[in-house]
Amino acid sequence: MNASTSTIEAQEQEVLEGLLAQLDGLLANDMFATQDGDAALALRAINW
Amino acid sequence: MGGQHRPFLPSRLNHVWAGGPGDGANHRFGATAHLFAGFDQLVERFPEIRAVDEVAWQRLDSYISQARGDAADHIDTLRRRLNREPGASIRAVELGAELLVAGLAALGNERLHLADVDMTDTLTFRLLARAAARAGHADRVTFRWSTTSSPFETADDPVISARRALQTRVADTGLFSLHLDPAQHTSTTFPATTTTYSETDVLRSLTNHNYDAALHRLSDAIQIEESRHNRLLAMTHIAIGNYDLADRLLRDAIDSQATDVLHQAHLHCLLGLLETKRYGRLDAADNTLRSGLSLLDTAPDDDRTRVERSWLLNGRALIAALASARGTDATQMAAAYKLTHDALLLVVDSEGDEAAYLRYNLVANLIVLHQMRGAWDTALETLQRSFHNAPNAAQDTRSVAVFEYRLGALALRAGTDIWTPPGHRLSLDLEDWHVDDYLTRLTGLWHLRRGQHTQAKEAFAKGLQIAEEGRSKASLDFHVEAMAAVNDEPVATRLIQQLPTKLPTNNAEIDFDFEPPARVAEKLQGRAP
Repeated sequence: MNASTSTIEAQEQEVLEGLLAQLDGLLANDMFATQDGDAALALRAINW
Repeated sequence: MGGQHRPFLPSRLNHVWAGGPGDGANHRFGATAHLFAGFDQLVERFPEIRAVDEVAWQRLDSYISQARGDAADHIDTLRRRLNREPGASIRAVELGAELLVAGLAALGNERLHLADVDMTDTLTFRLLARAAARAGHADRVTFRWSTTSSPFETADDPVISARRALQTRVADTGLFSLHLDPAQHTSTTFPATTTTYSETDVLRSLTNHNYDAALHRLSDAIQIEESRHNRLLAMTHIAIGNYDLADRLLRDAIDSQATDVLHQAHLHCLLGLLETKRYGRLDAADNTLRSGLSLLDTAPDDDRTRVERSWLLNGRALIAALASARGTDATQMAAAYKLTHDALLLVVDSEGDEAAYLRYNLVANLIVLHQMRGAWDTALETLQRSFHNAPNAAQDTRSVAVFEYRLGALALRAGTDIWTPPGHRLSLDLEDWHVDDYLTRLTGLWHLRRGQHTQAKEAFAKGLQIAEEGRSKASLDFHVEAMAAVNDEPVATRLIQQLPTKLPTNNAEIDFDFEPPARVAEKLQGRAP
């Protein structure tokens, strides 16, 4: 691994950690308060 | 152990599929037949088979009623997906096949001649194919099928071509010996029936994997607006593997519709998904999705627009994730997270089922990104935070099984003990051996990781039994290898790593659907190029 690759990866890691913190905050939002209808929707959700 | 099991092909090829030579112009198909019309007719001929297990037949009745009543669901998830997941109709195919064989065998009917199987609806056709597979378990019933034309012939007509492709996949199971000889009309024959043609009918056909019926209905459904007609036609062709035609139809749909911006954006989203998932053309797909996003710049900033924008961003996140999986660009993983974050932010406060469904999809995708980084604990925690209330609220054994599997598979990879196998509480109670099979795989590997070899062997032995009864070669292959892995650490490690982290939904051994060459989930996990 050369120095520039290492620098890019370090920068990416920093970006990633910032995003993960933001996502953590988003998920802390009460967006998944389960209602009857939501339960069925949740279980039908698929990933890519 | 595996060597003691019966071969999966019947000991003799006693299922004969006989087709007349045909003249190419006289194909007769039951593409428009009422769902399970042929099966109804068969049961009418042998009414006493219901008495063998009346309770199970009542459950089958409920699946069939559900399939017949299921129109496009109320949030129209069909709009958002390329593949069709098995619903009540496919559950009816499998249970109906099992009950048909058990009933006939119990009544001493060892041979059954089914004439004109081309004439029946495609769901009955699949049910008969599964019945033949299940009959092979103990050579209980021999089926002889007669068709109105050769199963080998090709056809230009897309409706006939779709049925031919299904026939070919059935024939490829090796369960039939194929003969060309004059059809003998000595037993049950299946009549063609008519139906009405509306957008709802087409959607119902698609939901029920009734693709030749969908194509037939679309060929007559002149009441559907051109752009929507082309979209439905494209979705049907995607399901049967005609990607080039689907691509062209989606572009035609875009060209023929210029006033409804949201619909236009949606069409871009579908086209982008097709380019991404079925062609792997990531740059082209990203351009398509960006064009869709640009269209929305002129739309009012309301919940509907935000949902549409969010789906397009979700599509772009998938592209970044796939690029990251290819390993050529170190910045793509962060890009995938950023796009998913932005998509989530758009709908975090949006009202309505469409937005709620999308939120859950986005979080499910976040979990995939965590998995790709090897952050199994984070993936597990995200699943628990967002989905933990859902299974109990749904109060449905099948839903609980889906959630249990996902939780268990992530816990297995994370190496934590927060999940324990459900055991008999779930397994074998679902009348769905495919789900039981995967729960059994997970259970066996969970014991294996803990060094509990006896329990692991018990689970894999149960898996072998499930494979045998379901006549599943894929399941048999897994459990035979897993049994060997009990004393082979590297193989055990590989099986744990390869275990899908979400319960696979489609099963080509049951639904006989067209299978894409590689699933995107495999590509994201670096298991497919």
